[in-house]
Amino acid sequence: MKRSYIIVASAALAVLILLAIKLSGIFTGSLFSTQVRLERTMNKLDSILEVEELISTEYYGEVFVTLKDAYEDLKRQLPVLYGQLEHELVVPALNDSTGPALRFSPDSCRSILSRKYAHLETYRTLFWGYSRNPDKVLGDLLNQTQDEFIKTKLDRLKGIVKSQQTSSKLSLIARGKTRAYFNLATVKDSILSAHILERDTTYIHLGLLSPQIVTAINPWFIYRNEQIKEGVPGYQVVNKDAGQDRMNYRRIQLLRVYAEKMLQEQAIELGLEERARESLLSTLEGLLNMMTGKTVVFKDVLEAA
Amino acid sequence: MLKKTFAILLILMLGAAACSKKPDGAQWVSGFRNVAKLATLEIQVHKIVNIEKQKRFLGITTGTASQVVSSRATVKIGIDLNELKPGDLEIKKDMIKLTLPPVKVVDLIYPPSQFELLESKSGFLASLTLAEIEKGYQDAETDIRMWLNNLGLQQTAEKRNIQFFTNFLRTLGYEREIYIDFAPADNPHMPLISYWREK
Repeated sequence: MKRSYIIVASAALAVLILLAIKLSGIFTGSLFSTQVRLERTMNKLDSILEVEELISTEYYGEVFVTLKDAYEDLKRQLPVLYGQLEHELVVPALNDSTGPALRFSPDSCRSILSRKYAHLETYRTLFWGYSRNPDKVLGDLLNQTQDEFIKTKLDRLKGIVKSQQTSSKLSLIARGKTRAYFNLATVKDSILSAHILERDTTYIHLGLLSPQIVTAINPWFIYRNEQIKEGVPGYQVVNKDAGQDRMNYRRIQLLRVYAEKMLQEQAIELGLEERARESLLSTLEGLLNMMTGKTVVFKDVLEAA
Repeated sequence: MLKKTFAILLILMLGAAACSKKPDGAQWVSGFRNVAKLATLEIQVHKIVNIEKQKRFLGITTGTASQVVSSRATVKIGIDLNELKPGDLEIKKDMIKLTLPPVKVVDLIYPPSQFELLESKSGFLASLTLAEIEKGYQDAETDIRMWLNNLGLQQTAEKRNIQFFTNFLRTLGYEREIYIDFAPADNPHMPLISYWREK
């Protein structure tokens, strides 16, 4: 009986000690601590442009992407990307009367890649060699034929992609927005015949308009503010192991680019462009009906035909 | 008796667990939304994002990890034409009065896929995780959104819209005097900030 009292008293004491440790925060707060913060930096206004754009449709979507799929996609794109590179760098160099060596300074190589291929810069795996060592690229260009150059690089990069692919399990849920917008100056230009009057209605025919499509996955999908306390993040890590949880900038950027591409494809497949045109016509009609007090109906060429 | 008590306790514990579950994030709908956002001003913002992580033992820093990236945001400012109401246009004998919805941020593009890595380092037992980096980027976006209100762009954006609609009305053949006004912002202290609203 006495023994059982001792056991109960010991257990109660242990609980009290643990509670005291937890409340005092010895092992969580003061002894070991971790602090992550965003350092204060300036926001710089680079430019202000006057535009006339009408965003007519937005597609909010979610995609699940894995690094494995992103590498597969990159592998499929390699020949296309190299075709572009060849067209931009190799062909002009070989046809240049002043000689390829003058044209291909390391600076110009770097400049062309960053300016012309801003979107490809994110495929650092692919262009790592170029941005890091343009001199080597210059040497390869001068010493190899075009076909050899392309083939050597392609084979090497396929190897890199394969080795990265097998060791990566990182996956993300990405949520973002694809928007379709029209430049109103283009809309004005594409009015084929205005003021076709039929009784009380004016019909205005438009040429077939193609919207500009922009996809971006921001850090915030639904921005958290005073009204929305629970924001929704743009990216959410689903599957990570110890190694991949650490930052690996190139891999993550590859995955982000792939996620945006997937989201845009999803929106287009679901009919973004058609919806954007319909929405534009409806907005223009509403605006003109209100401003003129008359019935104005917009028709695009497809509908009119 | 003991079984009964145990069952009651179990039910209470399960109930407590269910109640303490945090609610899901804001509800959102995937799919298309027809909008009519007229952007008349586009600004480019540049920001260096510096995320730092410090590991400490007894108040002494034992390791520091950081990531520095160069980021760009494209912000489009304008009005939401869907907020225009029939009563907003008043046509009189020698004048037209148009009340436009308040100017605001109609689109903000700040994709981490376009960020450029400037520096990245890990310290002793300190390295940034992807979740921490994401949080840092979210804070950077919040910072840009808050900063937009202090730029004094509201007046510039209003002038641009006045210019646009004056030209538009003249094109429609109105020769009369045109007066354009703006409806007050939802929140006068943060006039440009964009909010998500379910419609």
